[in-house]
Amino acid sequence: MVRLLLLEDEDRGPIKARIEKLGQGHLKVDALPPPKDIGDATYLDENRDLFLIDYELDTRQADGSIAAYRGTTLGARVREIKPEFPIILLTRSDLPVWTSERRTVEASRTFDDVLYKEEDLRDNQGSTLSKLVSLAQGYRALRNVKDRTIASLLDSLGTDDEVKKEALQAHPPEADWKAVEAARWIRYVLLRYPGIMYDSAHAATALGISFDSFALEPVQTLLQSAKYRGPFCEEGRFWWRHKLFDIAYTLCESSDNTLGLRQSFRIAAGRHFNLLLEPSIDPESNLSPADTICYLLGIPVRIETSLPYWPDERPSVMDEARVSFKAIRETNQIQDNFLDSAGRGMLESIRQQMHGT
Amino acid sequence: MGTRFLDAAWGTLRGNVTDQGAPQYELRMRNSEVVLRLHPPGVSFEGLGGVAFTIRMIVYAGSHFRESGYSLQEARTLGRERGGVRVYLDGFRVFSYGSPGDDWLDLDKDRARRLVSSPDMLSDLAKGLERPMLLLPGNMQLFGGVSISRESNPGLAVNIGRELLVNNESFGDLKQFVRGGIDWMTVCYARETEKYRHRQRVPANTSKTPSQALQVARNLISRETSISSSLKRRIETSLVEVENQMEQERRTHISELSMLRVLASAGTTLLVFDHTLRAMSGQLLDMVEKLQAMSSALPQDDKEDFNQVLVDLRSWASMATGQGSIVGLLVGADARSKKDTHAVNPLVETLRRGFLGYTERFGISLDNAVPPAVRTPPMYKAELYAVLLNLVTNAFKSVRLRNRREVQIEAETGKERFILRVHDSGIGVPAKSREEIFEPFVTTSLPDPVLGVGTGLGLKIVRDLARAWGGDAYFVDPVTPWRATIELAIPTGEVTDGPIAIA
Repeated sequence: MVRLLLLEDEDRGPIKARIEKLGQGHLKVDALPPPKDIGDATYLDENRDLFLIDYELDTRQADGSIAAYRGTTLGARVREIKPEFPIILLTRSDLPVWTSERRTVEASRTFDDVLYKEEDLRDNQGSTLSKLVSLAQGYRALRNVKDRTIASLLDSLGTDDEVKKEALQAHPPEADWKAVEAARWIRYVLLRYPGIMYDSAHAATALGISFDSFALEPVQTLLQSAKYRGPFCEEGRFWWRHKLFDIAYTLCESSDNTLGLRQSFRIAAGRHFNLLLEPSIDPESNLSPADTICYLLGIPVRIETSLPYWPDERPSVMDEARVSFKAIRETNQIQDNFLDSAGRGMLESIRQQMHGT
Repeated sequence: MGTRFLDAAWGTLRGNVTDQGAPQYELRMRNSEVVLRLHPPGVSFEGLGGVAFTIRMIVYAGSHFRESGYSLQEARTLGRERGGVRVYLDGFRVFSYGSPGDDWLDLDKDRARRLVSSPDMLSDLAKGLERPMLLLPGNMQLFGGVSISRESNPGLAVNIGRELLVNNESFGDLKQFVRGGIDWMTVCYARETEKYRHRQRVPANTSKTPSQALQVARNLISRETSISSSLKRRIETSLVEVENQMEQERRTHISELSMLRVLASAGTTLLVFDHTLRAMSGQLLDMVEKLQAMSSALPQDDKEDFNQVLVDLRSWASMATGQGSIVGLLVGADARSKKDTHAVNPLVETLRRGFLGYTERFGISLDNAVPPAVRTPPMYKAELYAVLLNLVTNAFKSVRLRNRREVQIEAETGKERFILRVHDSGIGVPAKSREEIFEPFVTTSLPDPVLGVGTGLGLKIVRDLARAWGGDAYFVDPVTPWRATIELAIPTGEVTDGPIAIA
């Protein structure tokens, strides 16, 4: 059971009910109005696993009081007192001021995540529940780490020595870390950027097989020891890259070693399970195996039909992001300043390729 | 860097600090013999004696590059990659300064902040100019270097990594000296721009108004003895007709402007409306959930009717959300912030989803037949949405009372032209009316219960935008099974906004 405190100025009843409903018995929600005095922290005395704070708090309360601050300010106060617990900002996705500042707030150290009242609480209930439970359990696991050294943090993830070296290059928090720092690193670096760990799409492509083939039960069983089971693992399905490769190499030991791993694995695993596994195919060139995943479209792509893209500050130990020619032609999401100068110079010719010009 | 590229510079700014620490600036402008000089009184940079710089300012306008051998796009690319003000210490480059991404003079930062106040040193020079600092050049517009010397400027030292100067008082003075020159150049540029604009306006002010021209014609005719009286009367009648027609057009033009002003003023209201609409839609869905929970207590016979009401309520809520998202397309900040090429298919898809409530209600099919890779020439997204919205809503109004209610959007792009077509199965447009309905306040649409009677400006706006992009909009002969097809064709080459546009 996850104990959650909702700090909300209006409609506490319906939102509390909606969260409890999506919790399916896993969430116990207490709802309170914002404190009159932001310095008053008595409402934080009770034991709770997670805090949910509304962005707009300025509705007049029954006693006539109005909070003269926003949820971001209240969140900073809660974070100050509760650095070992997850805090989530609750808002509406259409709030003009919020939309423009979303990235800034997401990048801040106050909140662990953002939930949108309409989209997340009503339309995406399954993934929202996973997120809430994952945050509560992940923080709990971090609070229980025996000491606050980097080694203990890495041990809590279930890493081995080989990965520890890589993980140290991914800028982990310094010794004496707080749970909030460790949580941000795990969620926004290790699990977000492919490299040390892979999500399903990257894992499938790294092994040279299609998403559908990767999802087949025998394949999943073969790879289960590579699965990440550390803090926040409930938020998605992730695999340790080096463990995936260890399994693949072991399976391919007796195969034709003139082929690369991605081709060998598909053939060896297919033979092992007596299954026909589909290769990962780059839709642009129709060639297989694909090399990576398009950052914008999430489809398999080869190096020669994609460009390097620099949309974030991922550590160099992580895989480079790439965007497919398809995304360059067919979407409006490419940002020129995320391409290098060579890439920017190629944009127009890539977009004109379809016209034969 | 090619000299032909640098020859395209609007101006060359030189600056130096005398041995006594007095800054001096000199500006030579393109196509002008005049040399401007500034010796700001009361300003001194004591530790900077001997420091000098030369900076060229590039204005990315077609007219400046016409003879350079560079296209505007190539020039901009060079600007992004090579632009900036570099620093040389005893002839060796201090690498961070003037590299892509570096903004040591805070130029890009101040441009982004849209600072409008002129520095005190320039307040007199900036008198009479309207917010000249809005024209402050960015790093990609400046090419040049600042020379400093260890011996003459001991206060300017490099750090251990040799890639930066130590951030001390002397470095602050150096920034102030160089930036002061650039600010002065900006004010001079603003003044030249103003002169250019004035020159553009002068002919209009000195030419005769149409009424004056008509009066001149009348005077000439009345003095002419070789024309018979009857012919003079017929000419006078024609002139009166011309005068009346002109007056009619003037009134129409003014009322069109008034309507556009009213519509522009509605922008903020629309944002609030969009926000409220989404909130109402959310509340409506909450109520549906509550009612759904109560439905179990109803007798079985009533449940079916009750659930149907809930289905309708949900449909209204999603329709409201859809309308809200269409409003956001036009007034959202990102739609107006950057001129870019746009993939048309996803934009049409957004529009299609936004109108889903409307099209489902009236049984209209909106087919997005735009191939995924078709892109527009560079334009603002909001303008493209304005075109699509006007064309699509016109088509909806046209098909709504027909048995077959189909609308299709298609687009193609080639080497020279981008073409967008909207076909509909509606009432059609007679060949003789095809031009007339582009006139303001001329409409063939019937009032629509949701889309309303319209402003009568939709097609006029579409054509005006198309022409502003260097193209046009017009009706073409529809091909079976369609009854009307409007086509918008614009050149795929970049259209510049005039010789003084800043990148």
